[in-house]
Amino acid sequence: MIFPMRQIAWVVSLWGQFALQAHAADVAVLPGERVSDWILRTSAVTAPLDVVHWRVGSERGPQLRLREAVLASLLAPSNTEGSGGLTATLQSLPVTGRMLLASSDARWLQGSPQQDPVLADGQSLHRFEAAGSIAVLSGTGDVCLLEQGAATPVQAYLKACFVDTDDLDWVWVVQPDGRVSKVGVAAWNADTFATLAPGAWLFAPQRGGLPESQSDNIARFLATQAPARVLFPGKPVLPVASLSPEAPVRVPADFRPVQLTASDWGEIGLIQTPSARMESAGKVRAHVSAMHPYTKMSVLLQPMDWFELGFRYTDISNALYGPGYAGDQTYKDKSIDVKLRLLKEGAYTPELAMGLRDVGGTGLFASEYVVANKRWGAWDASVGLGWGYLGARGGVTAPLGFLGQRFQSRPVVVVGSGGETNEQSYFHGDAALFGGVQWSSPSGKWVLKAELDGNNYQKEPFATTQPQNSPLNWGAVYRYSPSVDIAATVQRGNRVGVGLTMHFNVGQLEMPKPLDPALPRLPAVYPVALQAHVLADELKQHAGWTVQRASVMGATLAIEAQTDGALYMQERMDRAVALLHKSAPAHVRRFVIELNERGLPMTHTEVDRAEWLARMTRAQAPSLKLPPLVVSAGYRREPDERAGVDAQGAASSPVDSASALSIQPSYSQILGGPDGFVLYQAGVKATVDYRLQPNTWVSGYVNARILDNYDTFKFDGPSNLPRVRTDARQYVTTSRYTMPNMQLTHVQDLGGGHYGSVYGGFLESMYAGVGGEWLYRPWKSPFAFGVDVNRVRQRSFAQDFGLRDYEVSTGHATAYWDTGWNDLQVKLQMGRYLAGDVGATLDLRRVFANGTTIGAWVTRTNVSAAQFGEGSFDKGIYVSMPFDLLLPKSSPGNAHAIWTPLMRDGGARLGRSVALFDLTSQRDPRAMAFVSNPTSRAGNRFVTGGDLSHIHTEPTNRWLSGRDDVFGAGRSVGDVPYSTWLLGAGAVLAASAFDAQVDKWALNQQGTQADGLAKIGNAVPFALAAGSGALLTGLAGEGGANTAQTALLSAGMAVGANLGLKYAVGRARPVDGQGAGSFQGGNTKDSSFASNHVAAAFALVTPFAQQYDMPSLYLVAAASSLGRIQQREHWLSDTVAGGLLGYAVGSLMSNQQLRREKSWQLDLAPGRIGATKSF
Amino acid sequence: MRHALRLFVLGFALCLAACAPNPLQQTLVALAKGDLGQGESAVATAVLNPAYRYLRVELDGAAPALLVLGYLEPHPDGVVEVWYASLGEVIKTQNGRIVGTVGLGVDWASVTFSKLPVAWQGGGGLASTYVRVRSELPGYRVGGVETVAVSPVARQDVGQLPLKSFGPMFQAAQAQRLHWYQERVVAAPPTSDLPVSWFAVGRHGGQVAVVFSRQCLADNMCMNLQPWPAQDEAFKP
Repeated sequence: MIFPMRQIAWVVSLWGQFALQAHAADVAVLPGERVSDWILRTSAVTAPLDVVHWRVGSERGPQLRLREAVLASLLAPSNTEGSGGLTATLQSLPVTGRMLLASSDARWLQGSPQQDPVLADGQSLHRFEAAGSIAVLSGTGDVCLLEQGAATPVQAYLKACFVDTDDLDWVWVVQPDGRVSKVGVAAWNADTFATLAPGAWLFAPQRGGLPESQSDNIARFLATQAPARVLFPGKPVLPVASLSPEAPVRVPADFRPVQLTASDWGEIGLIQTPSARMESAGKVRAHVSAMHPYTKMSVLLQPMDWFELGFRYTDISNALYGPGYAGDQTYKDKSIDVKLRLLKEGAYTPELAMGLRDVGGTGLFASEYVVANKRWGAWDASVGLGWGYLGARGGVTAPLGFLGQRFQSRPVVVVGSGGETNEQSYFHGDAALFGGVQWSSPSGKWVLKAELDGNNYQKEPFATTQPQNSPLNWGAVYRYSPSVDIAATVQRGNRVGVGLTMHFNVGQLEMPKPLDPALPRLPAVYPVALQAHVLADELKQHAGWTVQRASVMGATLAIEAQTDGALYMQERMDRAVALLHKSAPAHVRRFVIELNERGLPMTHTEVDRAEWLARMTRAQAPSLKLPPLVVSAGYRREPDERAGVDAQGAASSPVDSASALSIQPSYSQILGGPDGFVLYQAGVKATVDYRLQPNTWVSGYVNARILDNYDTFKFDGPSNLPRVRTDARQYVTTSRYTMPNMQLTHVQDLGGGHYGSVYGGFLESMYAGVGGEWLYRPWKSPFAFGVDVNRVRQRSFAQDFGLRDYEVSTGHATAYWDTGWNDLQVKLQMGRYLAGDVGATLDLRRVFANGTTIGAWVTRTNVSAAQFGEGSFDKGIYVSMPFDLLLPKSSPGNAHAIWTPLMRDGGARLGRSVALFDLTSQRDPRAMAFVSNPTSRAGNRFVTGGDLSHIHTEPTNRWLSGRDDVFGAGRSVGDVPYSTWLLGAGAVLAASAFDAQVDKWALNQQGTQADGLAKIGNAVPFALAAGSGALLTGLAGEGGANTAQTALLSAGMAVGANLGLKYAVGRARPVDGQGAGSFQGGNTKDSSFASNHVAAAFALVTPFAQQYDMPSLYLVAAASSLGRIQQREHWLSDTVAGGLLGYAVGSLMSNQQLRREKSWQLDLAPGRIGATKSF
Repeated sequence: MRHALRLFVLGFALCLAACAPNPLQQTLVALAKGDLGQGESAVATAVLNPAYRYLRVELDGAAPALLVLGYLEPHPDGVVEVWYASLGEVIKTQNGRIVGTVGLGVDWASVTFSKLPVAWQGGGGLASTYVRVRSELPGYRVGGVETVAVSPVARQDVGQLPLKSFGPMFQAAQAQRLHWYQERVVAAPPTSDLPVSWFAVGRHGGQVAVVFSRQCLADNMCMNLQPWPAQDEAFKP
């Protein structure tokens, strides 16, 4: 019944659309005319306040789909508002095909032809005079027209239209030029003073009325509309009472951004206490605060919007570092902090966060907290509960004591061991309330703070105390510049403190490139022939590429070039194509660019010259654009592939033209050691990179240490392991002239995404040897896997050609996963470390759109905490930035800042300078997406033809559909015929007849090779679960992910059901020696019937076996039966029952999944309505 | 002595490093040469096409740039000059005052006058006011009405001009030879907070015209504008 009605609605709208066009189209366009020409031709004087709409017929289809998606969502039962009035209003609005113009200033368009469309058939221009009205569309579909005022805030329009604006949190502002923004209008979220241009729309849904995605869709559909005064000519335009110039509306005092500033501990907070607030992702903050007896130097990183991470050095002026070995140096405490947001602030809910201080240090300042914040305009209040140092004042008796006796008290910290995560004390013992309030001044320059401290300073480190006259602290922060804050505080009622914060967003870093040569302008005349050597020189200069071959073959200009490892491939490609266009004769219609990195084929790019030129010289609507570049995987060419090619102007470069020799300053430092807080060296280093072949080279560098303060460097860290890293002092101090790295490397493309390398020499400052690596990295895949194996020997302390006695084989298997979620990448390494210890390293990092990386790693090996020594295990935090973001000239390479609390011998990895994963970065799915200026690009309002018609949807929750499958499968159990139940029961009974005999066999197999097979069988369900988990990420596409989800849910259900069965049956296991007939119902302890392993294995394989017709998978699952029986954990009948249970659950769940996927799917497209069904 | 020797070696090595075309070294060299600073030399040594007219624009905190005159648009209130920068940015001036910009961080989308300014006078004029209706992007502050007071700067007060903000090339002696006007917004919407503007009037192209000005598009975005090359006698050394 819905379809015919919808079709009628379309007809009505199309009629409306034509009616409006007839009304508004004032001057027809001339074929081939540009928008700027039309504007100048139709207006004697430039009038930028007039709004010019550029309408493109081919864009009506996508916009129609957008409107239909909006209408369909309004009919969803979950929508509490808008299904009636809003639907009718939106249906009454025409589909126009309007596209955004970068500017309606004709003179600017003339100077920027790439933003100035050339008008063609089906396109029209419409000028709407600056109509002095604002339209407000409510969530119920009512439209209210108001007089526009120059300084009238959004809130004033809302108040003029709505009796009550208390239920409005967010509104969508649609300016007459088509730009859409979301604005907070309530006291808890208002952060900007937004004004509206005449002709603007406001879409104001009530709180909770529509999903955000739908509101955004509606706002963008409104952006395609004419000013409401044109659409609703009979509607009165109401005055806003306070619009008169004599009594202008003042900026509401409360509506300004809340200023986020650091506490004394560096995290966002008040003075001594944290708040629940978080900075935006990418923010890095360096903070120093001084308040006797502590001086804290903190670096806080914000890898995610909801996660803050940092480290700190605290100088304790009333304690010595270690009289025996550190002289009179005062104590330096190292610590790591984390803070996690649990809940974002809403109209009625606070922002909520929990955090840990000093999580990885000595625990001198170890604290845990939960804290909530609520904002009212410029006021932001926080209240929290702190444990440990932050809660030393007490007053709240063991809040988590109900969880058990051990939460009643807090274990005493043992100073000096450090490195433990102190998890045994988290949230233990008494706590204290803390909190306070901050106020931001209207200018945003000042923040005033007051807080109730959670500490009473009577249990300070080293059993000291500090007098506290008042638990209240007071502070003021002056925002000296957007990146520098200065703080002054009065604390404890008797002390004055100061603080300095420098902060910036590494995810938004950009750097102009004044030292780059200017790209040549588009040529007016094309060359007659290719000057290949000139092109090669220009590509080296502008793109950093070393051209190996350039030639014209027919209508194709092809180049092969070696890249320089720079990150921003898209920008380099843009420059290169511009140079190819300049250099290519007129008859060339296509460019082919084959790039390799050190001889490894990376990408094959084909460029349509005409399409690229069109992109450079005129703006186009999205529906009319063709991709000018198509990038695919590069492939290895055989030498005879090019033989006999009749190439014009061909050029090739010698192999060593990519070689490089450079001299650079060098600097390194060690922080926080007992011999001095900063131990540094500065000097110069000469680096060499000599290519013997494109894929074989000698690389390395020598360093001359010229300035340092190593004369105070005396301390060698103790070690209970082979001293694989703790001889660092001797390595840096023995010789001023060192050769930290010099090696020969060969890499090879093995085909099919496989790569290999072998290398040998002085691999790093402490080790020399040989090694090899294999990497499998499919094209554009989020997954990669590699193995490296090395045999290395310790180098002499002088870092010359000498070697020491210690040698070791080390290497790792490494899995790489780009999760696609919040730019998070995971690297998991498992293998043998330099000290011979075996373990794994987990490395998590966020890679921002400009290539900046914030990450952290942790390594756990079979070295105990006691053996490892101070630190307990290896860990660290790092930030990496492309040099492109730091230098005024385009350049390859990255700058790294790594912080590790301590250098120890456990979990130490070989520092390999050449890694295949880095060399093959162009195969990354994001390789062409990294740009040097993502923030500017996103905020650039001067773009013509921006896409208005994309359809936003709320993120789908895969597990909600899985939940429906579970319930569906439960209901389906009743549909299973009795005969099937009887068949299953019969099979179990039949198997039970052989229980004793089979167990006798198992008894005879103890201590034989069957033990190994049994262990493999036992691991089967875990391996299957891990594999399903990997597929769930989308590794094998959406279909595979759905099946994996079903498999995992099936396993969970099968194990859950089996636990009930075990409880009910209570059968003794074979190893118990009570025989196969010992049953004790109501006892879950060690019950044998049925096997969880086997049930889970069959539940995991059944959905795959059925959906992909792979019955052999059942054999894999059956292997788990063999293991359980051989190890005498189960009788044969237990495994048969478990297998049947798993199979049954897996089948029911798989059927539910297929039933869901094969239901009817509605398909809306311009000009038709369809419904599809899969079989 | 040993310390000094090491410093010498470090300096020598860095000098050596400057010879190689490494981006870091090139940056260091550019820093040493001052090429990353004001870039004044680039404007001073630019080869100008005598067929074109140029406007030197120096945005606070940025290197000066030369804009070229693209169009002269007739207008009842005076010809609008349309100037283009190398990346397509546009500045429109009318009688020396900015009446439109496109492509800058803050743009004046349009400026009209509901009460016209008095024409510039080379011999020192009288105080006056005009009313400007201005629209600003990206804040969409459209139709803001501002009353601007224009007052000549007495010869004896020229020494109090904020010469430092006029740029390193501007000499006090040159300022003394020009006629100066100050423009201050005296009535405006609450969202407007423009600093004072300064105009130097002299002879340009044989006519009385603005030969130098400092104008602000926003409270934190001011720029110096000067027809280039400077033609008035006052700018001759």
